[in-house]
Amino acid sequence: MKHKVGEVLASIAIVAVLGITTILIFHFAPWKNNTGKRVIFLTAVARNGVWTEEKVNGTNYWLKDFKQAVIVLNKGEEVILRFTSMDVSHSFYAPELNIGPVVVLPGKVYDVPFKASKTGSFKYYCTQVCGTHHFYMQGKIIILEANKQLSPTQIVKMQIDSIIKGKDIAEDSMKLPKNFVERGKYLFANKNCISCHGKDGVGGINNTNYQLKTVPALNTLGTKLKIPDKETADGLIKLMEKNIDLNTLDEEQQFSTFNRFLAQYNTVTKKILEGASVVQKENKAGPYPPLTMPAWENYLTNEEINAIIAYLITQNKWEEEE
Amino acid sequence: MKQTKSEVENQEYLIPENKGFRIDIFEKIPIIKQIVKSRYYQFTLTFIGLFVFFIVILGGFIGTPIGNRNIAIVLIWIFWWFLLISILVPFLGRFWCSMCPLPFFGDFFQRLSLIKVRVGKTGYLRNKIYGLNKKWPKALNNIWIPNFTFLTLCSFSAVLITRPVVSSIVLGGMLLVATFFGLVFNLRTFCRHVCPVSGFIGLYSKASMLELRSKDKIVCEKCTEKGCFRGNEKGWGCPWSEYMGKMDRNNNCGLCMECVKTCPNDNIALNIRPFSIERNIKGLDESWKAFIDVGTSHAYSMIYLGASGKLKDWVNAAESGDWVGFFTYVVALWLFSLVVVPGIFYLLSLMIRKLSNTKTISVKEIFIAYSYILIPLGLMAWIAFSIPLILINGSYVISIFSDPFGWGWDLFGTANFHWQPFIPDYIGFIQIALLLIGLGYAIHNGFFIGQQLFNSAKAAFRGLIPIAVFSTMIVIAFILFFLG
Repeated sequence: MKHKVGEVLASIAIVAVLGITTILIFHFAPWKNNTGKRVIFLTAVARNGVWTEEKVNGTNYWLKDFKQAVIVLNKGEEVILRFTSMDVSHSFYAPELNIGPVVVLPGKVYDVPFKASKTGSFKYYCTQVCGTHHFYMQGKIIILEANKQLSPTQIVKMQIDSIIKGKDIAEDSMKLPKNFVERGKYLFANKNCISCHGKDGVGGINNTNYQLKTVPALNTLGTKLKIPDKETADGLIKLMEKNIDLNTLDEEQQFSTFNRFLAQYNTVTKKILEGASVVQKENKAGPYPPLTMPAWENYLTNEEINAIIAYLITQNKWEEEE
Repeated sequence: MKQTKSEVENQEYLIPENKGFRIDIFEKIPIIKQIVKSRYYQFTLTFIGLFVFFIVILGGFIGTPIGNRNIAIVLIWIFWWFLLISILVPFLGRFWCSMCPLPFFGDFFQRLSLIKVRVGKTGYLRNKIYGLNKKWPKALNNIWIPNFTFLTLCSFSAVLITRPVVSSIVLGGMLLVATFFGLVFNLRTFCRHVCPVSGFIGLYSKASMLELRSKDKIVCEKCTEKGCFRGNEKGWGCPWSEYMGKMDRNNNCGLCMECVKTCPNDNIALNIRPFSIERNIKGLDESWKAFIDVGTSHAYSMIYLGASGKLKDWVNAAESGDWVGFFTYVVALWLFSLVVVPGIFYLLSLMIRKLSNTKTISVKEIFIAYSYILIPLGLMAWIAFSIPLILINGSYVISIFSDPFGWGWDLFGTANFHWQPFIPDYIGFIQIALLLIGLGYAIHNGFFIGQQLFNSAKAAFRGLIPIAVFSTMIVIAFILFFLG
């Protein structure tokens, strides 16, 4: 029959080209381990605020909530950390283990060899503001003694115990309330201040090699601002709510420590607006502390900053209350 | 004498013959004829299309979700769209249809062959065709379905052009539907009556500079075999059910070149012709297609090239979560395309009838005939819309070539090619020039159509006034969107 050979060749061409292409594609997929070492795949997902070990692709990215990776290694183990990003630019940083910061651009693959030389629990971070969940993009690297293992239940518990809790608080918090102080509370959670300063600003979040060891607590802001008592605090909050510039108060509206208050208040406001990119190290030769105050200039209005300050002032314990 | 309703409906509202020069490519470059006469010609083209399509669909599912790093977005919505609307359609008509992979499996199941031709008898065909071969309902023998499928795709454009997986699902879905139609209905029913892209290309290919036609209609009349239509041992009967003896429009010629193989009289020419010369609009479905295309190009220009963030949020509800805004946008888009633009055009038709002082030509005839002016104008508007896509984002195509899935590959050393816009300062001027060319063709065609309808230059000139004003207003609106 005419074209019989052609027909056969065409059929073979389709099967061969599509088949071989598929095989090659999957052979060189980034999740394939061709290194001979254990590869730990860490994919950044800004939508969930995680570095995850789960496989992320165009299909499941929009549908799944990915889990923060808990990286478990044994002492002496040599691995490859393979970083990819599924959305925007991220930066992986584990200061205590001297890993990174590794800038991870979308559509690229970064292999970082790592030898687990000391045991313990170490934190890793994303140090490039990558979205609304950036501040929760933190997890743990656990290095166990050789031959020891963690059960899956223990790993899941670690994931639950991690900073993800804070994220839930932020997401569960009410929608932007009308009440001024409540709005401050909402913004404190929603803008993720709680991820570093703790729930209600109680502090205690460790910041590796930071001179003060932990991120400053903010529930004593009232005292730090030199506000003498609750009554004065309430008066100031009312003025802030009315959006009155505290620098222009009349003498009769001022209180005994007003000048010191004003200086502190302006310093705090400036710090929120401009951030603090330089953090004092405890050990000058040690790693740079991973948690720094970001600049909120383009993300918060003056009124919103005042609402947050007002909320934090209400968290203050006054002498008479104590 | 007053025409009957059926006479009016069956009439083609323009000159029976498209004037202007013709250069037969087959005659000038015989090797092209030899190539298209080969039975391997269309298979090779479709195979290339199928291979790329396969990579694209795979890319959407397994590649990165980042649009500008995924072949499913970059190749389809930046490169292919520009290529289709700015190069293929205006210069080569429906050439894309000859390599489109969507009907590949449908064709295969109908023919059970990739290269060879099966001789036999199936209905009027002299080829053996498998599948159910059902006839498409007469009531749907138009492009109303493509009109609505196109509008539907446009409604979801934001998610379609930003999420690779959505593009893959839609393209894969279209492949499945096309295959189903190939199994159930006869020949290329999907392409003629369902495919949203085909409706779009079909209408604008009327303005194209390429046509496949019979050299001499008298030869066709005398031909008893009608190989082009019915097929023979050399090739398949026209998959688009066109008979070359009567075909005088590009609308339904998929340029598959089967007729070149099957014509027993060697009577087929592949002509280069002037731009925008095929002015015969056949019915309201085609008129509405022209309105929809102008309506959607306005909407797209406003949304994607405009400055309104609110509007972008409405369209992109999957990201913004503003579903009320999205619903408002969809209703506005459909109303604008299906009611407002045709409504304005109806009023214009009334004015034209009044100004031309005619009694014998109905408003409907005027409405349909003049709707052609929106074809060159709409095509130029779409090209003007597509220009920034390729000039601003074209550099992504270069990096995608080396890393189609955003997996960090560097197959050809271009993966790290950085994004860079090309001549961004001149884009506005190019867009204005294109729109003015479209306006020129719209006015020229408006006058020509008037002359044919009213048989009087004076009446044609009077009738041209509302059309010229309307076309100018459309162009001004586009310029405002592009430059505003």
